[in-house]
Amino acid sequence: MLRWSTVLARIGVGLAVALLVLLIALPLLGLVLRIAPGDLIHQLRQPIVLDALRLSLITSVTATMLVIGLGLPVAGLIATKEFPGKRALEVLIELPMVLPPTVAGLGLLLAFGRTGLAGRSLDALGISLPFSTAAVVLAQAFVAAPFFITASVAGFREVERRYLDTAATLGAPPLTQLIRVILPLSLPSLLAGAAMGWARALGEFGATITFAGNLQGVTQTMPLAVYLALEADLRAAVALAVLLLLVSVVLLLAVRTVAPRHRLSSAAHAVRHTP
Amino acid sequence: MLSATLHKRLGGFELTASLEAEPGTTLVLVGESGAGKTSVLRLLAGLERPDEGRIVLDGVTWFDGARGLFVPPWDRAIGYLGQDYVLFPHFSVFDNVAFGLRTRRLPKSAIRARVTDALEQLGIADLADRRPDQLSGGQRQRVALARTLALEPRLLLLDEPLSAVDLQTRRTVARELRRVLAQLSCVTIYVTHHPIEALTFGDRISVIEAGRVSQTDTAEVLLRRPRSPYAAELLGVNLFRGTIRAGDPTTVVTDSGAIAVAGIESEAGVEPDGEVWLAVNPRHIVLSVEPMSTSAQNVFEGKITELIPEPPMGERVRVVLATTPPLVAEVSEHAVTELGLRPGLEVFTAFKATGVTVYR
Repeated sequence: MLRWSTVLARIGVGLAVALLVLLIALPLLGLVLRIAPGDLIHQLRQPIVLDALRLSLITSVTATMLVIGLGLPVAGLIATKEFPGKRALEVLIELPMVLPPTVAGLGLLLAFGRTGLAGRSLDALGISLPFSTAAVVLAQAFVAAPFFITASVAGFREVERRYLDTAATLGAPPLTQLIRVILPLSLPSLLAGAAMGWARALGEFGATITFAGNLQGVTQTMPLAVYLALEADLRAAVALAVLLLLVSVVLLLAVRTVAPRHRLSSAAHAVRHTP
Repeated sequence: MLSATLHKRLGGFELTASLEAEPGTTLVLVGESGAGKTSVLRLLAGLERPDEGRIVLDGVTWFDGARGLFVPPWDRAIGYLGQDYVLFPHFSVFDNVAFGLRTRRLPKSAIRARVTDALEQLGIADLADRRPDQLSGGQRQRVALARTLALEPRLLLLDEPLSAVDLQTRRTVARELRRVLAQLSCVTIYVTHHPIEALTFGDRISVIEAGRVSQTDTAEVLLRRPRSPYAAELLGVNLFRGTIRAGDPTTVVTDSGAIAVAGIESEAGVEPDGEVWLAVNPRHIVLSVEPMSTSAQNVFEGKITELIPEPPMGERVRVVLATTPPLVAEVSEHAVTELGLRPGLEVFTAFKATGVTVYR
């Protein structure tokens, strides 16, 4: 005999699962059902779509490279060393994860804008960032960096001391230990972090439109094009959206294959568990 | 030749050890876990820095506290075999063994030749393409040893090299390890908590207690003349501290009664009424369930408190006795059955005065 409380609890959980699946799956279904495969390919040939696609690929890949290049040494430092101000540095790095993107964009504008904190010096050098492709890259790097860095810190911390000790006794100085032991052993985390950062860069909207504007071929990335096309050409918007959805699904599956223990939640996990 | 004096403050105690070992020999460090054995290895390897002391190998100084000299581990000609062998999970067996050679940037053909040699030396050439997670404990140990020996170390450090090998194959792996060590021309330091391993592998054996070396001797001397209750307990030898009775050099008075001895070993240089150690080999103690008429001068009576098979699952049995003085005898499994020995049984023990080793 099942007790009433058990039955009620089961119904409650079942209902919650059903509602949550509907909440997430229904919009996705709405997108996919809205457009026929043939029309999708046709729509993707439109100049506005092609421009956005090209720009998004270039900027998000550049931003990801920038994040990896700057993030690896920072992650290594945080994972291995204790120093004054470490907590503050960690909080600063994680902040873009929780900051509303439009706030980030406004901040970037006030920092690197023509009259901004650093903008004036840049202006004197003849560099103007706002409303340029470089601004898009900066906005994307700003929001993507914490995803990569937190995953990398977690990956570095997972490399056990004994592997480094063993490498050292086999004649490997620290640089060799880094290249031949630390990086390969933490590669799944690094790849997962890079993929998460790239996904975040690819989907970046708020900071980009605030800091870089919405110029087709210059700063209009795919998410911006989706929003713009919504008013003029719904079918183009849907085509772009479905494309972004496909990329997201592929990325997610890739991360789960490369680093089954990491998944997309590990960045948030790493944030919570940073001692 | 290794010559080291090490001082290091550790968590609970202070480690102080002086070690000397000749090339081609094995020095065993034996002691309980937590006595500081692994710390000694890590200090010798350069994985930790001593607070004070000196480490010199074959005339090369690796550490000198007074001069502030410290050679990092990667510049020491060492081989270090950690307790769990620590194979790199992202490399095949071949690449694991090649790791150190590649670090030295040797030409590819030379690396291949030396890796193959090392694998063949340990009889594991057929494992070259395996991944570490496809190996048994004994195989992992050999791969780790091959990886170390491929670099031709001048100092080989082994930390409980048999502990991660399962019991069934341990005997084979131990025999193989002895064969390999016998061929080496380097100094080997072998850490274990297992007395039998210590006696089998050690050309000389250092007993470590709470961060201090209490005795360093050959297995033979150690068994005959342990110099601390701990060493005696470890080796399963009956050990007593006592004073030679005044005017009677054949009787030694201990806290738990008098023991007849044949006389003081001449080289011991014991003065009358000086304090001495008495060691009695458990195999020299005779057991009987009835009173004995015997020429042995030391006869004691008492209950059996415990029967311990030695080594575990072996054919010898250690009989712990509640006699005064307390004794441990060692008899065959056959004798246990024959005499019906069991805990609680009242028995008689006897050993000859000449069976007692007396030393200072």
